[in-house]
Amino acid sequence: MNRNRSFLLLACLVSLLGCAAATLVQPYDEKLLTGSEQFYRKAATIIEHSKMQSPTERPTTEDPSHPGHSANMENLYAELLIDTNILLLRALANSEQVDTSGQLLQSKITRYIDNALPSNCDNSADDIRAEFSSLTVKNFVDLKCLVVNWQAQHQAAPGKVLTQADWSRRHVSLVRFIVAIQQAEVAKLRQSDR
Amino acid sequence: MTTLNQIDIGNVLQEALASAKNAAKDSWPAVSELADNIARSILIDLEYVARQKVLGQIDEYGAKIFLEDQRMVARARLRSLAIVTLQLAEDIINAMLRVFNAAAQKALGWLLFPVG
Repeated sequence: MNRNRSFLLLACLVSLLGCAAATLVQPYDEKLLTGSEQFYRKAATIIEHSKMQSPTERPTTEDPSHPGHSANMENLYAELLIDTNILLLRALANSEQVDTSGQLLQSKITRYIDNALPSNCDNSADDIRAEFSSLTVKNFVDLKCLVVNWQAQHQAAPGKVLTQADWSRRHVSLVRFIVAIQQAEVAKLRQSDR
Repeated sequence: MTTLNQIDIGNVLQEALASAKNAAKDSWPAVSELADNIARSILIDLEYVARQKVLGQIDEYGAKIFLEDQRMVARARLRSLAIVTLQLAEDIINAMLRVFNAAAQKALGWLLFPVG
């Protein structure tokens, strides 16, 4: 009886050891942490500059020569989009390090989030059609979408000019987004410290 | 308690559980904080828009684009919560694997599965 129990326990031990070390999330990447901070710095500077050039009241007519007009800010949005693409490519480089179990879990979570809170972008920000995109990658896809949508909002605004309050609220959104990205990355850092 | 080559299986299990609890202890505050933030921020945003509307400091377009942005922020926050939670699960699994691997190596005399 004791020998049977020992064998059973040994079998349990061996089956537990049948899996290699788990990698449920893609590893910490310092460049994503510092890169997201740099992105914040640049975007916040653009927001502050734009706010200073914007009216307090929403315009009722369009003036293409207004410094806050969307056409005069296209290059700024383009620069931010390039920066989001750089971060996205960096995140994608490590995406495949997630193991099979992690990929399954992350794919389910992505489907849940997409159903509960559909993106504003309809995949227009997702140029990368990888077989598997990790949650980290999806965060940077959404950061790109945030900028894409900002440009669309600006173009659709009355008079194609945003108010100072609109720019202030964009700063709030930017801070929240970057903090969420960094919290996730820092959590991985605690693991890689060990 | 069952022993195997002088390894007490009961002790191994206790050590694995302690290792898992330790792994959870470091990461749980991050999970808890993120979950709290997501729940509170939705209410805070609606209160903010309502207050700003009463003060005449936000119009319909301003409210629309602000809340559109908050949907993307919520997506990022949910993902980050999931990442932190999965990291916690990974920590727990790997902590237990290290204990079991060491015990199996000692009990069986083989290095069966190296843990990274």
